[in-house]
Amino acid sequence: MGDEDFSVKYGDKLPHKTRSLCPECTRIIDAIVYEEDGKVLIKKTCPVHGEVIDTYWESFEFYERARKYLAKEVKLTNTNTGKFLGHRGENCPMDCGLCPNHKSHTALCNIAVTNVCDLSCWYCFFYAKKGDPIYEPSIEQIRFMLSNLRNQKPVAPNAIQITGGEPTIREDIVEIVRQARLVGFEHVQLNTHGINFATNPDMVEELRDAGMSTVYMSFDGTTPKTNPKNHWEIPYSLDSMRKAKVGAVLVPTVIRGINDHDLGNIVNFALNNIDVVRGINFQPVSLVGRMPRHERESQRITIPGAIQKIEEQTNRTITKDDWFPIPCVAPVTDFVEALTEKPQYNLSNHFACGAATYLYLDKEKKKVTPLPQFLDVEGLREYLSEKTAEIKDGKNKKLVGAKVLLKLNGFIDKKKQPKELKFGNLLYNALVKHSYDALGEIHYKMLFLGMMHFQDKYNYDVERVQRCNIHYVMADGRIVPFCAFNVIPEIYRDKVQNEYSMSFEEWEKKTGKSISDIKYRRDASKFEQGEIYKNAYNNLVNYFAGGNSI
Amino acid sequence: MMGRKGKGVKVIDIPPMNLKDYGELPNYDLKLLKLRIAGLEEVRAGAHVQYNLYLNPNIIAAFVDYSTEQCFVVINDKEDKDSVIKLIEGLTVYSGSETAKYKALLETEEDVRYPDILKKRFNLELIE
Repeated sequence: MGDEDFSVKYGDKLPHKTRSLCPECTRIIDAIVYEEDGKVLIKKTCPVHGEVIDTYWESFEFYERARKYLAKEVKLTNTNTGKFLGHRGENCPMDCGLCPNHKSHTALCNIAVTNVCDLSCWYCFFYAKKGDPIYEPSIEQIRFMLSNLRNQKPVAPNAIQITGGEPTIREDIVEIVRQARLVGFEHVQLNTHGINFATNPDMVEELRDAGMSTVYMSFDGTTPKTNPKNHWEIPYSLDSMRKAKVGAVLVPTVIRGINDHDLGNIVNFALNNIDVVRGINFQPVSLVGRMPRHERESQRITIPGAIQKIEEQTNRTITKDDWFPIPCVAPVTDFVEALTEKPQYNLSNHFACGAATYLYLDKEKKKVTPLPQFLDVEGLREYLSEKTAEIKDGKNKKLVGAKVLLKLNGFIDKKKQPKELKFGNLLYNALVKHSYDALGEIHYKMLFLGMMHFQDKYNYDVERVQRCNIHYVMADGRIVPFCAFNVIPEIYRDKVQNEYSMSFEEWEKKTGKSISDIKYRRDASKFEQGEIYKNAYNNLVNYFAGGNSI
Repeated sequence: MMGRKGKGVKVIDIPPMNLKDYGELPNYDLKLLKLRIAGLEEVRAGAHVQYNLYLNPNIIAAFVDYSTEQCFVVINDKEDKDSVIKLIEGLTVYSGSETAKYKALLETEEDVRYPDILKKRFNLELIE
């Protein structure tokens, strides 16, 4: 096929020409995303290492729906790659910083504060082994990185995720959270396995008082087999958070054949803990390391595949139609931007990177209702786009705002909307009053379900990384998309962290600890005997089977 | 190996941004090399060179502009500029079924400075 046989414009129909990486030598090569047997595949040929085919998305039908949700690009006005280079992103993703060709501002930025972890999970790529250099930036360096992020223009990021390794290993973690608040982040999220919250409940309160907003916590399944990482501790961690009034987002890494049969149970577990669990962010696995195709296929799952599993495992309560690609919120942002005349927080990432929905739980009736089943999402998007155009054409903003207020309830199916949920009011506060607290209120009343599929070298799509809005800030001040930082660690994560690391011996001397001493040793039977554990796993209401106990 | 304030090195804008927030910064003896590379027919060939340059721990920053065949490399003083050329010339160009080697020519070199926050990265101490 010649070039004319492929679409090249973002969001156009398949087959689509993009660029990818050779999984062997990381050379940038052309790639074609195409449909075959109802699936979407990506194919590329390295001149040295030959052809590679991988699954891009398991459903062509879902891809066709998703590709229509396009958000406008957001270009940074103060890029971070050095004017002397004068480049425009031609060598993407080899010259991140962010560069002038990047198409999204930072929505959520990760800052790794250590590469030490007290666990050694087989599928994790981010912990130091004995003898490895130890990366633990100082408070001064952390302030530098955070300040640099906050200076991003036109939109200063307001959400930071403190991550590792295991960040709670650092003795100054409370101070790090405090510094993040002082620098100006409204939302400070801690990414942790949560085990230390189970064994040291006071830590949650200290972190909350320092400004921690949410805990982003690994949770790969509801059984010891699907979640060997923190199955025993999770009930106690949640209990500590419940007492401290700190919300949690559960984060399952989804691997086909390992825990993909447990996704419905994970949602049900979250609903049973909805007083403390604000959401679940499923992360289909990113396959790091060399794997032949048949091995990849045995573990590969993508967003439509995970959504399909959830539909099957929730008795079709949460259907695939209830999920929307993340950029679907673009008309909302555009409307608020037109109303305020200020650049707004814009989720302009690639449509294939993530999807989301919200669930409302009526505890009394034991009924779960996904938001799109009572909110006309498409109609609302269309209406807001029209109103945005009217404001841009010079119509009185207050008048348009009042019209929106009157019309909003028209997009809500009153018969299906849970009675105690006044969603129209919540929407109005979020849209017209553009209140951050209103967004928070929606999260308090509902359970957020998200999907975020990070890439690997097999399914890499440069168009996705160019629109990435989940970033890392590095110790040298550069800001790098997640899928550049972790997929090409030899020039980003590992290279820069090694440059700022201390030797293993220095770290032991400085902290008075040794890596083997800090490794966590579990007394499973002690946890299993506790009431908190028993209640968490044995007395669950099954919200997907008419309220019968599982 | 170390520079000092007022040495007269040319100040250029190297990442990270917002250096002005950190006040006057010390100068370190880094070199900015400008090379011309023949054989960069495509965007991806520029990235190929750049990726391989980044793998060298003594190369601080690299950028290849495929359209002008220019290559900018910031090196620390542990790096020998000839080895940068050797590295580039050791790479193979693939264009269709043809294979060839890049040809690299050093055009200019100049001193550049790097901010204080990065001193640990280079394990340097400032001489006042």
